[in-house]
Amino acid sequence: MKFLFWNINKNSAGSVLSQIVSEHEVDLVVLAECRDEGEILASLNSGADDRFHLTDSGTTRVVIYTRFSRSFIQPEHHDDYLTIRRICLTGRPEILLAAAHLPSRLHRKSDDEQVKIARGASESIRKCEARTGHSRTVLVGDLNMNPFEKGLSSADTLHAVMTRDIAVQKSRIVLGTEYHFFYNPMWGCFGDTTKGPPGTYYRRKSDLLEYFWYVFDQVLIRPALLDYFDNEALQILTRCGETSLLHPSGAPDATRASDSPSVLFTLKI
Amino acid sequence: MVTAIDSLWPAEIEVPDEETAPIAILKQQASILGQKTNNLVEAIVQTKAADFSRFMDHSFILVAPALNFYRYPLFSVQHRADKLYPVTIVKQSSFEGAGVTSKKIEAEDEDQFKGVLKNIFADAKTKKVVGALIKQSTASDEIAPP
Repeated sequence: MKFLFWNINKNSAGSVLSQIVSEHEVDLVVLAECRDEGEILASLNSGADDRFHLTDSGTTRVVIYTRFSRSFIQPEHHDDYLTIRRICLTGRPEILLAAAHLPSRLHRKSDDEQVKIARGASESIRKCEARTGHSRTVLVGDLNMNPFEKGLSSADTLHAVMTRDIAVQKSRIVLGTEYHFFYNPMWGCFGDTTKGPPGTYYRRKSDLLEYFWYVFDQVLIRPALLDYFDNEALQILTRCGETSLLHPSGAPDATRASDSPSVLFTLKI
Repeated sequence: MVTAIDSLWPAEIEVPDEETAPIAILKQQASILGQKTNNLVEAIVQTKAADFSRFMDHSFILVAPALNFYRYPLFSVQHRADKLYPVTIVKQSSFEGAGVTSKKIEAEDEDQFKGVLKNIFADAKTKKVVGALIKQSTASDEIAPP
């Protein structure tokens, strides 16, 4: 099953999105900052035989479209930043899809607040896993934090580590409490030695500390799903057909589609 | 110790195969509506028991996912639980004026039932409702410059 995540930055990205979705045969689309849910749905389904369905995200600020019927994707949790769904397709193992758009760094009050929200997301995911009795969970979205930040990497937040070898150990105990791992392949998406762009978001400010490239759009995989996750299929997309979505400088061209590229990944379920 | 009891059911249970069940026809039509509208307007069929379970009641409800899953009940179909036909189609014909009025249409068999559905789907009011839902679903919140 192919998944695409994209923060479309409130743009009318329907035609570009539908071309990408068709080109890569995407089965499930997660969007952040989607202003026109209906227009996007119409674009996705224009001329398509296998039509997408818009699913109910409640109050969460992400939108999910699926090629399969809504009856196969049931809500488990909704809050302002995170939606968690059970995807249960006939003859395939059930998975939990968590999709998030955490608050922007530009508007947050403090690092502590960002960490608190990440901790809350982690707890919501754990509760859903306990309720459903499995941890075949994938978290995708614009997390508005880099993989190395506390909200992503600390044991009491999302606890997302940089290698499969560590993640397969499933959990670790810190001060008497067990914390479960996520694997975060996006650690490998930094800099200009990667096969994609140097990050998923570019910013240039006059601050003393400036990374320029950030990896805010991420895919986190629980160890129980690692056998189904194909590292090679993970891509940060910078093209739509023959058209580049990047500015000549290499940064995402917000005027063409969005200020961040989309992320494509596959779960072989 | 539990003693095994042989099945007391007959070897064959007869399933009527010459008629299509009303619910199957309704679900097919619901699916076709989604295809025709790019899933901007879909329909669902909700079934419940009626008349102390002597009857089944299938509601045909339009759903507009992009309008916060707005639901518009178009009509309902009732038949005896032990028989597929005849059916009674109950159409809410008006929300105007003082209240809701409903109109009952009888269909003796599958062909009549399909004919009634065709008339309901082609009805000006139905087309107006579906059209309005599509229009609102694709309404951008962007205000064009003067």
